[in-house]
Amino acid sequence: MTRPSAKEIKAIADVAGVPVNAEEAERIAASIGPAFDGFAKIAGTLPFELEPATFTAVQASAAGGKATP
Amino acid sequence: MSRDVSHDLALMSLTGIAQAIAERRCSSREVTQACLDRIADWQPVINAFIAIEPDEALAAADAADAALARGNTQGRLHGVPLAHKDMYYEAGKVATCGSRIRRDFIATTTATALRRIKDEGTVRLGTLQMAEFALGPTGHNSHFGAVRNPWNVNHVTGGSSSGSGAAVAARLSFAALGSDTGGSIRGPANFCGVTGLKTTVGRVSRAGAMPLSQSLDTVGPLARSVEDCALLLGLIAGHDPEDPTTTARPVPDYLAATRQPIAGLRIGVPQSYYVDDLDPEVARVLEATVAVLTGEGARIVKVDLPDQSQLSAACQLVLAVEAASFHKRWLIERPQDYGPQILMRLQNGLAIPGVTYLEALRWRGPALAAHLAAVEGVDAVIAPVAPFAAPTLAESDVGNAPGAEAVIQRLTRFTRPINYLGLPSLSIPAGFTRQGLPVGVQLIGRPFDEAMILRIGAGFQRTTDVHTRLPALP
Repeated sequence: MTRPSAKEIKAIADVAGVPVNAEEAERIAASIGPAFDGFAKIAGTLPFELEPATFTAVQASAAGGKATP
Repeated sequence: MSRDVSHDLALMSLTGIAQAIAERRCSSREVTQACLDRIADWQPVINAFIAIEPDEALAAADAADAALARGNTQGRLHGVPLAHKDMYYEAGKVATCGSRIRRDFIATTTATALRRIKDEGTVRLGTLQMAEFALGPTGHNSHFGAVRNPWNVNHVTGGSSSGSGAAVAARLSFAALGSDTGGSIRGPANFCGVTGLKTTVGRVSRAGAMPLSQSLDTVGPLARSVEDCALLLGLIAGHDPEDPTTTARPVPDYLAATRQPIAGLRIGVPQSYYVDDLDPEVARVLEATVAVLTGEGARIVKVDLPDQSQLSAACQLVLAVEAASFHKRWLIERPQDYGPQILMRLQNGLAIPGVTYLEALRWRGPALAAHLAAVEGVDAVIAPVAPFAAPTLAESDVGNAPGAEAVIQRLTRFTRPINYLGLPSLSIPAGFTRQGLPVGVQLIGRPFDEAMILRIGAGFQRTTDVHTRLPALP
């Protein structure tokens, strides 16, 4: 995973329906880029069956309870 | 009652003042007036409040006194004056959320956490300052002005619960609700020298609290002591049908936990990340805190935690997308009404693809499992809350300038990983820099085990007096 460029961010923001200008896109790229870098080793490596709800199950298991709240 | 004696009432703990009113050793009016007097002195200096409601507060205090005279006590906080972060909706009242956009927003419902506290008989003093929409770790607010640190008004309070930290530190409110999505309770607690509790995701209802990130938001108290935090947590914790993410598991007796000894407990000290690039004064306070806990019989063990920078990055991705989603309508319709920094940070969420966001959420379970494996057999982990004491107003007033995000990320470097893991964490004041600025540590617990970190924090506060020290009015 690579951090998005300002040009790509401008396109993504347009698609999201909240256009940003070139200066804003540069600022966003510099601002959020490190988060992409930090997550790069995880992105694209997760097992097929893994769901976000696994978090709740792990949390409940650690606390000695059921997965459902 | 003289003003000096009146001021003494405002200096008591939450548990102490509640008991004093219940036993009619003082009236709610006297206590409320004492707080209002202090607010009048301090507000021009630190800007902790958004709204102050003296007439309404005194009327409510009189009603509380009249009820008590008839033998009617509403609850455990009968007649106690409090103020909370201005993001907890109270039906019929304005909740600005620290913003221009919601400057005139009148809530139609009352937040569950706030209602549970109010149902115990509290008196509303007004509302407390916060970062705009709770998205900012410094204490600056471009609409309502910066909140200044009571220990040194040239320094910030931290955010986003900036008013909560400052008001509790200056003894303007006996306690206050805050919220913690990336460090927003622990940061201000740390920089202002008060006790703050970030709760486990699912422990306290978020219904009626302004949302920022549905996966990461948590509600919790800031107070003058661990005991006061325990009292409040016992009131606000528990299942709420209005917030289906809250757990149905029983609410422990947190106050009883604070009276348990800590001898024999195992406290983990991370060997990396949380000890990297620490200001020497923060390192000194951390070391001294560990020594106190050891002296109380706790066993210190080294722990090797998984890569915390990855957790921090995942936290940023989740928070940015969820915040942008909540704010999308206003980003389209009213971008000019945001402060420059929050606008920039909300726009960050637009740049993250959906697949990346979901990967960051999907990894949360394995990441928590890896953390729990690393701390197996450990009752809590101790770490600094920030690598340095409160920065100055000037050096943290970065707006949306190049490098602003780096300043923000450095402030929340030690708190974000805990939000991503959804763990409880208690920030306790632990010492001071040579300049007189407070320095705290955080005790990080296992899911839903707030009782353990409250127990350890109370053990520390039984043998130290850092949490009892007061800032002087400049």
